[in-house]
Amino acid sequence: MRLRTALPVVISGLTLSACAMAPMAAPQATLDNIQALRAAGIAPLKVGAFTPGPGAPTAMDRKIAVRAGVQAAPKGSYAQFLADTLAAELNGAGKLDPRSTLSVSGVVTDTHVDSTMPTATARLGAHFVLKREAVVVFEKDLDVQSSWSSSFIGAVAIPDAFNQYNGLFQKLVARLLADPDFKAAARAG
Amino acid sequence: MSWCVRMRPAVAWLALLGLLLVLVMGSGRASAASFVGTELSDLKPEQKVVVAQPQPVQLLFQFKTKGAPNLQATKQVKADVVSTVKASGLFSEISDEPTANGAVLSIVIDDVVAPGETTDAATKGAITGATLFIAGSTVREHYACSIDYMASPTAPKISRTAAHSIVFQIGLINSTPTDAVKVEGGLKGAVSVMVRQIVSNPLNALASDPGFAGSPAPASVATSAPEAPASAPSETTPEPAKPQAPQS
Repeated sequence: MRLRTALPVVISGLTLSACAMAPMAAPQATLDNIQALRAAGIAPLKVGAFTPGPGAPTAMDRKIAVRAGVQAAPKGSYAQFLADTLAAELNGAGKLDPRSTLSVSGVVTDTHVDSTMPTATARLGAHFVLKREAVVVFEKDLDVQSSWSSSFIGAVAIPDAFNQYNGLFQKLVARLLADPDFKAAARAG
Repeated sequence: MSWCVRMRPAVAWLALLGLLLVLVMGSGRASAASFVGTELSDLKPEQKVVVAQPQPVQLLFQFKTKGAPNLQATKQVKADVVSTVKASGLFSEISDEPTANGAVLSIVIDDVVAPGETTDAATKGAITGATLFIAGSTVREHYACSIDYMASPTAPKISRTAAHSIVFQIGLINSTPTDAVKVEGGLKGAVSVMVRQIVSNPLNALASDPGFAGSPAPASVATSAPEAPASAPSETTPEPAKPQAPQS
């Protein structure tokens, strides 16, 4: 009797845990990016609009799926998550100023994540634009990717894929902050 | 359950089977135990470095799984990290925001998985399940912590590292691991103890570095915490400074 009542609960519990992931936490600043921002001597920036481009970026803007797992975008948009990741890094370095005349915005141009065996991949790309007042002083397409050994076990492969995908946002922001043209355009004065 | 799966891939299989065990057999009869490895332990009062004039610091923390940022686990573990840094007494104030002195303390804990560890855990879990939880399974999950500190925006970065582990057992027939200490509170309790020890030890070692107070020191120096095993990742290893007077 105990088995009869417990097993459906166990099966549903395991199934649900594979499908529904906890909401993502806020992005964190990193020491590497803080050091890069300090060394670049850039002026404080404000973060403007980040939107998904056509195709996959729009289709995957609200949520991503890997096997039976689904991860919803924080605040309902992965493009916004890219903006929030950039804002977290700027804020961590004391370089975020909502009143700045320098504004960085972006369009997500490429996004992908899979859990293919034996090697899974994830990609993220965006078109960044930096404006001083209303004048474009920098614009560039940047992209990052990641590959890793994927497991046949869903309970391992799904979180791995989500973690790798989430890590790309930080990597892409690091690419932007390390870009010599961006640093030159955003420099104070 | 998703917290468990997101945080420790190798333990995930055993944890899922543990849930089955608890629900099928009843929590009173379930056999699951959590341990932390003996690589590190809590600092004794006389080991703690005391700083004459603690300064404010901006604390950055990130939990990673196999090198990738794990935002959910970061959120779950951050409170333990903050309370450990506070309890060290090394800083006058701990903030998420930049501080006036520009000091930054970055702590990264990585759930590192050795090749074959996940498959090994799955195999063990399958055996335990096949024997209706009579045959026990033991899985060890490894963690690496790196702590970087800059006393000011222009100060050299100083670093320390440490390694630790959590051991999780399910099943009725198990022998107690000799190189681990049992922890109350299940996996969550083990994570809490692991985090406290893997942060407090290298942080204490970092505070004994001459560069901690902002004085000149070699740039980007990284050493293992005194209690960390020799296998802990490290770069150069200069002569460690001795701790100051013990904390009262």
